[in-house]
Amino acid sequence: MKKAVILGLVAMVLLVMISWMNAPPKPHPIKFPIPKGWPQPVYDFKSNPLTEESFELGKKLFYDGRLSKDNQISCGTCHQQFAAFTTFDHPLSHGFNNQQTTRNAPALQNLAWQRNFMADGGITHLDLQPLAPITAENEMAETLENIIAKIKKDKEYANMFQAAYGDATINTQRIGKALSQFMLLMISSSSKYDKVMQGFDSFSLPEKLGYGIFQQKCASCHPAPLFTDNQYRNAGLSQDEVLKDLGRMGITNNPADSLKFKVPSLRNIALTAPYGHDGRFFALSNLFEHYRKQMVLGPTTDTLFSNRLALSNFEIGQLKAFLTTLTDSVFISDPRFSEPRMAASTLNHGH
Amino acid sequence: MKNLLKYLLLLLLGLSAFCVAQTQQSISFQHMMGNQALVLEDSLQNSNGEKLVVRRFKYYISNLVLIDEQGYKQAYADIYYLVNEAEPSSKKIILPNANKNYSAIEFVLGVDSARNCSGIQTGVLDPMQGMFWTWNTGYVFAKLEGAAPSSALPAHAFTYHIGGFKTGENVLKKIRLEIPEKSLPKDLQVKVDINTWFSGTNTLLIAERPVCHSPGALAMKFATNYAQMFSIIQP
Repeated sequence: MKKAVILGLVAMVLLVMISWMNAPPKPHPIKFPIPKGWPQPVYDFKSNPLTEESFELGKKLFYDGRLSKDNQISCGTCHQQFAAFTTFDHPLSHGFNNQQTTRNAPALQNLAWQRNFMADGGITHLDLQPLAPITAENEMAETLENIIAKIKKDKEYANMFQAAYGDATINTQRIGKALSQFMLLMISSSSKYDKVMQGFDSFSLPEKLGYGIFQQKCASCHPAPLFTDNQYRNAGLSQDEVLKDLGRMGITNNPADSLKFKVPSLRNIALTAPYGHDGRFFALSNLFEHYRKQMVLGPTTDTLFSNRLALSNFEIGQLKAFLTTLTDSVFISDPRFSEPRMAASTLNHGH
Repeated sequence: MKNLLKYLLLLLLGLSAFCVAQTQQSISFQHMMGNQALVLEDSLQNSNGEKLVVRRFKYYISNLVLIDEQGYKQAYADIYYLVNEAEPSSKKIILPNANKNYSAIEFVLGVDSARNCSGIQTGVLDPMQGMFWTWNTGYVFAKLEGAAPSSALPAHAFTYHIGGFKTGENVLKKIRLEIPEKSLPKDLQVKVDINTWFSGTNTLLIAERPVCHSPGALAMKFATNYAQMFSIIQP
């Protein structure tokens, strides 16, 4: 009897040791950094705790062309880091089979503070957001089944899913959560404006004058620190005859929302031309001309613009100087968000 | 040592007795057009006189509850079922831990707003199931696709994707079916009549309405109609 008990105990101790040795290494948590003075983020981090491993997986997915039908278009194709993750110099982006998208690619930054996504706010969760461009026929045009089948063949993905989630299962939810992790950490809070606010730098005279005008004429819809109120407003852009985009009304079916679009953040605005939901404004000058002269005042145009927006040439010059201080050169050159260099094996692949 | 074995044996016996006491019931859905069994791609006719073939017929069932005469409820709260005509196994829902003393069954046709709003789900709620709008977050609760000569769309197609959980466009339908003789059969047969989509509270002609692809007024009309599609087949 005694012998049996001892043997049993020894066996148990051994089993515990073996399982401890075989236990996969735990993912390394990342603490989400909230810039000083910013509000709490709205993203539910409890449902998707940030880890180094998931972030790296998200980065690989973000820059992987296999997420598209022709294996050529990745998220990063239309969201370029040097342009604050919008498409450089393109009013509309290019999708599968030489097609164009119907909206101007938004800059990706400070997404943890956004509740709804897309210019019409139709998508209500960051994890779900990538599914729209991935499956849209004129964007990446791929099915989730095909993506999972393609990346399952990649041993590196198996290892990365294993490291991030404890097993190598690949499903839509895990893909979405990993992409979110990569995008959540895209925080732009290191512009000259931020440094001035923290007392580490100071505005030049034009920047300072521009800041004053900004606070008076722009900040009600573009309040700091995010430089958007995340509301939907009609800023007097007439409906494009081809695109026939109704904006927010396309989601709510409410005529009161006709031609309303989400107020974009002005952070990195100097890098994100062209402007407007359909990219109709090529430069900041076009945008200012629109606000002071060309706005179409319709039934849903924001009441703040009932007399359009009076801006003198002088004010426009100062405003431009201020807006340039929102450029975050740290963010757009941060290697954590840069496209990974293609490995030699990948390069040799397509001969 | 011998004692230990004895206890183990007793425990096993107890467990098996417990298992036997729990019966397993099920619900089988029989998809029909009026009195005609639905066969995908077979010619059918609805009561509006429109000929049609059905290519896809899928819907979500959730928050299933069995209710006995005393009001006791056996709930299957967090289980979502995607019933799909193309997958015979999906048309039979297994109800573990149920006995036969139930007088009514309740369920929701659709996916509750909580699951619509909390990111990407897995299993039958995986957006990969093709029952999810990516551009306007939300589940398609019920999908009916096919072709009808009266449709003016290319290939005479009709596609009905019905969903919507927000205020003003909510099409979540609570269905209650009274169980005959207050006794749940081992495999409850439920008729699901596609004809109700087109006739009922609202007469909807394929010729006039070949497409419904977003939440809103038309989706609400279809949902009001199809909320009547379930009925229990008398054993």
